[in-house]
Formats: sequence, structure tokens, C-alpha cells
Amino acid sequence: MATNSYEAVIRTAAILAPELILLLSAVAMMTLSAFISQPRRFWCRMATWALLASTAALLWNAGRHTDVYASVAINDAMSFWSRLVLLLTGFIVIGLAHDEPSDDRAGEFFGALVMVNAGAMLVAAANDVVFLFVGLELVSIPTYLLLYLSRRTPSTQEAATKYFYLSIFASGLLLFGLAYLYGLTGVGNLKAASYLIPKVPGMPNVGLGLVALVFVMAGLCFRVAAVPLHFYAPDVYQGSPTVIAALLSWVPKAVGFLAMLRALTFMFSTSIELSQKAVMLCWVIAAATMTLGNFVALLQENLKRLLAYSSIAHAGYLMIGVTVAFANGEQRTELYHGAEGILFYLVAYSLMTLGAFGVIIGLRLGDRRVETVRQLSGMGWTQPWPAAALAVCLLSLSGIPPLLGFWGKFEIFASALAAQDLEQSWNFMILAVIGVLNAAVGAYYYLRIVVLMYLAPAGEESRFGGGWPVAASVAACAGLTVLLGVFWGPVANAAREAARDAATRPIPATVNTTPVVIPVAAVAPAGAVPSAKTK
Amino acid sequence: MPTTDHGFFVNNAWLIPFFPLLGALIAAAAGRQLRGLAHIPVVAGIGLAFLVSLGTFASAGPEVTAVASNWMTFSGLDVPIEMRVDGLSTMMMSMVTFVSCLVAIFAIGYMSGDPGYPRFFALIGLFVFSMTGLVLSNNYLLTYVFWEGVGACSYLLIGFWYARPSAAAAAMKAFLVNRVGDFGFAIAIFWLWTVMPGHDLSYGAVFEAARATDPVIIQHSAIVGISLLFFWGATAKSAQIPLYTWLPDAMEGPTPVSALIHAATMVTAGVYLIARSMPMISLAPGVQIVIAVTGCLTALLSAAIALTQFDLKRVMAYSTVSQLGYMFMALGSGVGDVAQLAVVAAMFHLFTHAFFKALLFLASGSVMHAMGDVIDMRRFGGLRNRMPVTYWTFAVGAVGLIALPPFSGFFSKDEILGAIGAVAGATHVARELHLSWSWVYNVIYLLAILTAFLTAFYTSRAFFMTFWGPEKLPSPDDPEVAGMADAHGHDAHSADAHGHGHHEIGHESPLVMTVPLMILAGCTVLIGFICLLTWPVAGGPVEWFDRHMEKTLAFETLGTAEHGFSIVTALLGTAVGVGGIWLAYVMYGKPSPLPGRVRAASGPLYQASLNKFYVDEIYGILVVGPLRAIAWLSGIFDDYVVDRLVTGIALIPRAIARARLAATQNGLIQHYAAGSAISVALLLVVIVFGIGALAVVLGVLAILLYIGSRPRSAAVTTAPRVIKADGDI
Repeated sequence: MATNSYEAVIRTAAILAPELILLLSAVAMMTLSAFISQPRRFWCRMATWALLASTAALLWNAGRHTDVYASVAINDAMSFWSRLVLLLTGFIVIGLAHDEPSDDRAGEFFGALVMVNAGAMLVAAANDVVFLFVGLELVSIPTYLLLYLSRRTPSTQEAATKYFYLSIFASGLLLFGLAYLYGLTGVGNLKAASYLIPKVPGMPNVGLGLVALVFVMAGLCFRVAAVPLHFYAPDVYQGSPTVIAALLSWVPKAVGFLAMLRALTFMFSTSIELSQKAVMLCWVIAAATMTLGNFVALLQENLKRLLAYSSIAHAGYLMIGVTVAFANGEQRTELYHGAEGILFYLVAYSLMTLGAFGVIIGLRLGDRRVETVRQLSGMGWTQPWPAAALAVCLLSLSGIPPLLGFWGKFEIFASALAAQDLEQSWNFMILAVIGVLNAAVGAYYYLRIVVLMYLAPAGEESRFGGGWPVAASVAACAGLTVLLGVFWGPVANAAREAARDAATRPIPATVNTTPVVIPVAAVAPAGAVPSAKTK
Repeated sequence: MPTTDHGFFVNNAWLIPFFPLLGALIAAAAGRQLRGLAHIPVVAGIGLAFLVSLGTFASAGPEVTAVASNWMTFSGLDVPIEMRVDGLSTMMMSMVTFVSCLVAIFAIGYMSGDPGYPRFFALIGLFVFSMTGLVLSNNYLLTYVFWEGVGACSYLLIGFWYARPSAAAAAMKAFLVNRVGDFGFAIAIFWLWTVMPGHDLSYGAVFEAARATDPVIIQHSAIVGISLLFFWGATAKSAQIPLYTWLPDAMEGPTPVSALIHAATMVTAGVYLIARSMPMISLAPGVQIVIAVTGCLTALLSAAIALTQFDLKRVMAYSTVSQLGYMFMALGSGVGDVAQLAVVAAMFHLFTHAFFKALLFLASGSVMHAMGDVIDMRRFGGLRNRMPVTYWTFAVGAVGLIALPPFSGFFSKDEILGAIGAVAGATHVARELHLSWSWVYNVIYLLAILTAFLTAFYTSRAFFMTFWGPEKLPSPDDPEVAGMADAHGHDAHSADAHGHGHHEIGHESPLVMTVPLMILAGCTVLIGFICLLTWPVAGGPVEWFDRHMEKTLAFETLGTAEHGFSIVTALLGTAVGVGGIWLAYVMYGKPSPLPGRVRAASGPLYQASLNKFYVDEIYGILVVGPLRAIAWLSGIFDDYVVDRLVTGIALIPRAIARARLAATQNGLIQHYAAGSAISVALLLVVIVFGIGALAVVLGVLAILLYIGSRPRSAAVTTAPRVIKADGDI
């Protein structure tokens, strides 16, 4: 038994090697920066090397498995592919941020950036309530730092303050909910908990489950910028440096949805009562988020604010996937449709959003940065390449085929229609229709920018001042949006594999990695079952 | 059959479309740098594609497939990029890449100096990519994608000299007419998608499902409908009645384009589609009658038009329409146990026609090149001494088209006539059709012979008018001679295009143009000799081709029976061919008053033929006019009703956003936190206690709102903010 736990720990550590490399590098960078004085190029390079080493470690880990009931972190397909995507987008973010901080703060800045990446990857790999929360906070806390570090203007300070207070408020909600989630089964291991719920009679305690559901959902809604915790997004995006806005629009959203999948959907979909309520909750959130995001985005003139509402709207589309994921009960063959759609959509979203932000980071009017939509007019002719990249990203955001964003929406809406067939309930059809109508509304404000860029006369003289890393990042985003839009099979396959893998709950006895053994550590709390019943 | 190892060439069959695409991309991207060398990547790409096609030849088999990539995999929809390397596709691919390669080489000379030189070759590469993709694809959906691809390339190439209004109009016409056909093809695919189990659109699955009788998977009515829709699609691409009118106009494009796309390859896509779908279509003999009759009427009508045209390229264009009609005649005759024979005949004619028709077009291009872009046969004549290579190669092509033995055209046309004859003479056909319709095939047989006679006549007429008689060159004062005046003919670019060749009119074209002619002429002769030589060994002149075609998917499901070489048909075909040549020689071989007299004697008939039987005008009145009227009405409706409505509806979200939603975003963090907390609390109440509890809570909330709406204290409202929030608007 001891050997077994020891083995599990070692294996978990090996699985977490990419994160450990990142964290150690981040700590080293932050500490070193207090003692040595180096230009920001140096720190940026270090961060890149850290990510590279982490990528190598992740690839080395490919296919390494562990006993899911004994480990706090697992390396299933969802964990592997999500972490890979997070690392690759990490390169893009670093490329966008390469020139952002001043030299004296660069060490902390890039250290925090690497740390955010580590946290996000931890969430993707997490298989334990506490571990999940640690990962989420490891994303949040360095983000506060990033918001404050890069520039100290009043607007940055206001943004940092707003984000900080509202974020800890949301973390409080989340922690409260996670405590209830733990109380539901008395098991911290997420796979074990979702395995237990349908197996043990009297489980789950529905009231307890609903409280957990609402609070965890609320806490995660903040991360993904979904109604009703979306308020911070426009103000914070607008006030903070563009790079940080880009980071905020991607990493927290990714980890939020990954956490929803890990902690909620696969567990709650196993119980009919819980899943019905969860579908109701998410239905409301999805509809409200999409509608609010798209409607208010119509009013925006400020580019970052517009992208903030756009990010809210996309959180709404993704919530459709969550709704479906809750509905896909255990006995279903289409168990993974909702999750598959979410994972696919996240890949598309990362590329198109980071690409759009990247262009805004790079474009300059004289010495000023581009701030408003109007300033982009005529860019299609004065700045053909950045404008083309921005146009690709915006068209993808509005879901024009054959770009990747279209297939993302396609998968999400198709999963809703599949659920509609399965559940014989009109709710999903209605939700999909709301989604499609919203996509039509959304097309207006995206296409407006494209129209301005190509059909309006050019204004002031502009240039692309981002340097080659920004250009490379933007090119990667736009290029992949087109390329993967045409050949989206690999992404879809990876998303499907990930969703299927994350949904499986192996029978405990068969998954032991060593032949010797025995009910695993995590099943031991099965003893907690009676206590849960007595409540 | 799962993908297994079929050797290097089959496993990498994707290289066949890939190489031309790569060449096209290079030519497009580096066109400005390459300029006059832009042909190199494209010609090399097509050449490599040809080599790979040859490599697949030996490994071809009915069940040989290779998956290049999984394009779409989603619940209920699975579209792999899968290639089928069977007899039909390898034959088509080798032919397409070979002819394209020669035409591209010819174009090096023909297009030299044109400002659009790189664009031309990029488009040619793109076309070969689409065409090879079309024939390689293993499912209808991918075929459709490439089908549209060749259509788009055709549009771009017809309108290559887009500054010329006639070229732009011809391109538009070709595109729109083809859209009408694509519409039918698309509906056929939708229909198939709904009836196929698992929505599997791959050829193998469709044919199997169509044949299944226990239980019936696809209803007979669906088979008939889908087959008809496929034919509808084919009539546009392969220029059959009623959608053939775009092809003669397509001659506005550069001559190599006419040779490649509008004679040898793209226009055969429709024939290919029907031949490919034969295992399904042969289950609907009624549809086959439609195909045969349409093909027959098209062949006859366009041959009749070709009799009187003076534009050398237009004669060839109508001849192409007519020969495509022959191919459909053959496919339509594939009823019952004639099916295999018919498919082989059609495909063999497609194969031989590609060579001699490309040859004839290129030779016409050579003439046009030498005549300073004049193509009207009345303006020149007696060129046989000035352009010996063009003269002799044109002669070979013409004899091939007229179908005299032992040239390739003879054997292919004989096969077609043989197939029609066989089905006309077979009594079982009447049984198969459940009606006494087999007499139709007897009529078709006679009309086909008549068409063969007309073909011989108009081909020889063009030949004699161009090359025989007293030598005559377009006068340099002629405003139509390019290089002298830009008013008409090709626009300024193309005048440049032939700049150096035009100072002296009437010289033989350069080697880069004549060598492809010679190779194509050689092929026309060679294929005929292969037929002759293998005849005693294989037991039939076309047996060697037949053996290869037998490696086609589901080919064995088509009916087969022994059909010997029909000496009567062969003699009849040769006799009408010789008769046509003789008549043309009498009328046009030397200056003679005969044509004038015939013209006068036939009166309105001659006028009708000269004016293409007024089909364009009839379409103009019957179709285009009403459509224009509808378009005009729709335009008004769109401007004044739909637009206003949409603008109005679009205002609603903005108004809602401005009036209600933006107000919540007032920039005050305490409001944000309170709003979030209240919302979460509301959700919790609803989720845990149900909707009923909501009423209670809403009451409480109303009180809260009332408190909140009281004048705020100064400390709250003046919270220091720099970010301008939506609520401030």
C-alpha cells in the first residue's frame, strides 16, 4: 500500500514536471531580478526557454498514465491536449508581451506570466478539489501583479483594483462552493467523486449539490466573464495594458471552462436531478451572457472594450457547450459532445482573440497606440498585412466559414442539437437558436471593423511598431485560424479524444498501475459514504 | 476496404493534385519576380503530377483507395479526403495531366510577353489541381468541391483578358450557366445525404446501397431522381442541351485555355460524373433514355451550327459540344447488358477526343498566332506552305475527329456507334424498359451516323478553308490584326503578348508551340495503332482499354455481353466520313461558286445555322428577360422593404443595450459586486427552491432597488474613476 501511494506520488510528480519547470523558472526569475539588472530581452528569453523546456517535458510525458483515483493530477487526453494548447498560446502571449514591461520590472513581469501559465496548466491536469483551487489561484494572483506591474497610470490602477477586489470576491464564492462539492461525497478526488455519485444509493444529497453547483459556477463565471460576474471585464480590459487584456481574455477563460468540465459537468451529469437543475442554471447563464455581450458590444467605440464584450459573448457560446455537457448523462453515447465542443471552441477562441489583440498591440498612430474603432479606418490599404490578420481574426470571431471560429460555433451548436434529439426537450433547440441569432448580432460589430478597414478612407499615418515577436505571434494566430479552419480534423479529433477520456471513469480495480493492488487511496474515503447519508 | 499498402504511388496519390497546386502557388506568390519564367513551377508541377499518375497506373484496382487526411469528422458527418485509384480515375488523371502539360508548354510560346503571364500559369496550375482532385476523389462531396473549383478556374480563365467586355461577359455567362447545373448536382448530393445510411457519400457505399434489394435502402424513385439531377449537373459542365450555350462563348479565353479546359478536360467532367455513377444510373433505364436523347440532340444541333461558322475556334467549340453529345449518347445507351460496352465506349471516346481536340485547338491557336489574332476563316487561306507543321498536325487531328481508320477517333466513334447499335438491336432492352421505347435507340443510331457525316463535313470545311486554296493573309491594314490597332481583338496586353511575332504575319509558330502539336498528333496516330496492333492479340480493337477500365469500382455490376466488332457500323462510319470530306473538298477545296449557291438554296436554314438557331436569343427572351425583371423587382423590394426592415431590427439590440444593459455598467465597483451577489443569490433561490420562490425574492429585490434608487451619497457617486464606462454615455 505504501509502495503504491509512493508510486502514485512519483508518477504524479512526473506528470506535473512541465508545471514544476515553469514554477521553478518563475521563482528563479522573480528572485534573480532583485539582484541582477538585465534588459527585458533577457527575461523574455528566459521565459521562452522555460516554456520550451516545459513543452519538452510535456511531450516526454505523452501517454504516461496514472491511477486516476489516487492522483491529484492526471495526464489523460484532456489534460495533455489542453496543456499543450496552453503552452503554445503561452508562446504567443510572450511574443505579444515581449516589449511591454520596463527593464527594471521585466523579471517580475515575465516571472508572473510564466506562473500564470503554470497555474493554467495545473487546472487542466487537476483531479482534486483542492488542487483545482490552487491552480485557479495560481492564475489569479500573478495576474494581479501583472495588472499592476506593467504601467502605473491611474487607469491601470483603477483596473487593477477593480480586478483584484472582484476576483477575490469570486474566489470566495468558488471556495465556498468547492467546500460543498467536497462535502457531497467526502472525496476530494474528482474522478472518484463522479464515480461514486451514481454508484452509492442515496447519493448525492441534492440540496448540498445544488449549493455547490451555484457557488462553484458563480466563482468560475467570473473567470470566464459570464453573467452575472462579467462586470469587471470591460472596465478592466480598457484600463489595463493591451497585452494584459489579451491575457485576461484568454487564460482565465480557458481555465474557467476546463475547471467547469473537470469539477462540475462530468460529476453532475451522472445524477438526473442534479443535471436537470444544472442545465437550467447554465441555460440561463448562457442565454444572458451571449445576449448581453453581443448587445452592449454594439455600442462600443473603444477597441479593447469592444473585445471585452466580445469575450463575454463568446463565454456565452461556450456556456451552451457546458449546458449540453451537463445534459449528457452517463448512459449516453454522445456523452462527450458538449465537452468536445467546448474544447474545440477554446482552441479557435484563443487564436482569434489573441490575434486580434496582437494587431492592436502592434499598430501605432505616430507614437500612440490604436484605441478606437475609427482609428482603424483605411488600414486595409495602409497596413495590408496587419489589417488582413485582423480581418481574418474578426471574421473567425464572427463565425464565417471556413475559418476556425466557424467550426467552433458549428460544433457547439451541433452539440446542442444533438442534445435536443437525445433529451427530447426544446430547451436545447431554443438555446441554439438564441446562439445563432446572437452570432448574427455579433457579426455586425466585427464586420463593421472590417468594413472600416477596407472601405473607409485612411486617417492618420500608421505603422506596425510591435517588433518581430508580435508580428510572428499575430501571423501564427491568423495563419492557424485559416489553416486549421480548412483542416480542422486534427483539432476535432483531439477535442473528441480529450472529452471522451475526461468523461471515462474506469472501474477502480482495473486501473491499478502495479499488479499488486488493492482499493486505492482515494476509494478509502468511501467510508465517508455513511456519514454523507446520515446528513 | 480499409486502406492498405498499395505501393508508393497510390499511397501518395495526393501528390497528383498537390504538385500543380504547389506550382500554382509559387507562380502566384513569386509571379512578379519570375515574370517570364513563371511557367517553370507550373509546368514542372504538372509534369511531376503526370509521372505520379503513370506510377498509379499499374496499381489501379477497383478497391484501391488512399486516405490523404480526415477533412471533417463530426457526429453524423465524416468526410475523409479519400482518393480512389481505379481504372477510371487513373485513365482520367494520366490524360488530364499529360494534355495539360503539353498545353502549358504550348502556352509558354503563345502567352509570352502577356502582362498576365504569371497569373495565367497560376490559374492553369490551379485548374489542374482541381481537375485531378475531381477525378481522384472518392466521395460525392469532395467531387463537388473540386467541381466548383474547376468551374471557378474556368471562369477566371475565360475572363483572363478581363478588360475586354466580350471576355468578361463570356466568363459571366459560363459561370452563371454552370451555376444552374451545379444547383442540380448540389440537390442530388443533399438527396443522397438524406437517403444514405450514415450519410456516407463515398462512391462505394452509394453504389452498394443503390443496388441493395433486400432490404431496399434507396427507393427506386430516389435513384431515378438523383440520377436525373446528376445528369442535370452534367449538362452544364459538359455543355449539353439545354445548358450548352456557354461553351462557344468561352472561346473568348486564350486559346490554350480553350484547348485544355473547354475541349479536353473540364468539359468532360460531366461525362466523368455520369460514367462514375453508372452503377447507380444503370438501375434507372428511363434516365438513360433521357441521357441518350439529350446527347443525340446536342450532337446533331451543334454539328448543324458548326457547318456555317466562320470563326475557326467556334467551329471547334461546336464540334466539342457535338462530341460530348456522342459520349452521352454512349452512356445513355448503356442499358442492360450493353452497359459495360457503353461506358468503355464513352470513356474511350473521351480519351481519344482529348488528344485530337486539344491538338485541333492548339493548331487553331497556332494559326491565330500567326495571323495576328485573326481567327475568321474568310480572312485567310492557303496556309499549307507557310505553316507546314500546323498544317500536317491539324490534318491528323481532323482525320481523328472525322474518324477515319486507323486513327484513334475511328475506333472510339466506332465503339459508340457499336454500343448504340447493340442496344437498338437487343430485344431484351424493351423488356428492361417495360415499354416499347427501344425504337428510340434506332433513331439515335441513324442520327449519330448523320452527325458523323456533318462532323466530317464541317471539319474538312475548316481544314480546306484554312489551309487550301490560294494563299491569303489578313492585310496589315485590317483593323482586326493585333499589333496594328488595338481597337478590336485582344486588348493592349494581348497585343503586347504577341508583340514580337506580329511584325511579320504568316510565319510558322516557334518550336515551343509546334512540338506539343507534334506530340499530340503522334498520340492520335499512336492510339489508333495500339488499337490495330492489339486487335488480333486481345480479340478486339479497344480490348486493351477495356481491360484497364475493368479495374473500375463496381464495374462488374454493370451488365456485360459479347459484342463483336460490327463491320457494318465500321464501314458506314468510314463511308460517311469520306463522303463528308469529299463534299467539303468539292465546295471549299478550291475557289468555287458552290458554297454561295448552297447558301442561296438553303435560305432560312442557312441563316438559322449561322445564327446558332437563335438559341441564345430564345433564352434571352424566355429566361434571361424574366429573370432580369424579377431581379429588378427584387432589387426594389430589397432596397425599400428588406433593407429598411433589417435596419429597423438592427436598431432594437442597440436600443435595448443603450437603454437597459449599458446602465448596469456604470463603472462603480460596489455596484458590480452587489449586482453579482444579488444575481448569484437569485440563481441560488431559483435553483434550490424553484421558480415559485422567485416571486418572493423579486419582491425583496424591489424594495432593495427602491432603497438603491434614493439619492446616493456624494461619497459613492464621486468615486474616483478614470475609465469611461458605458453607463456614462
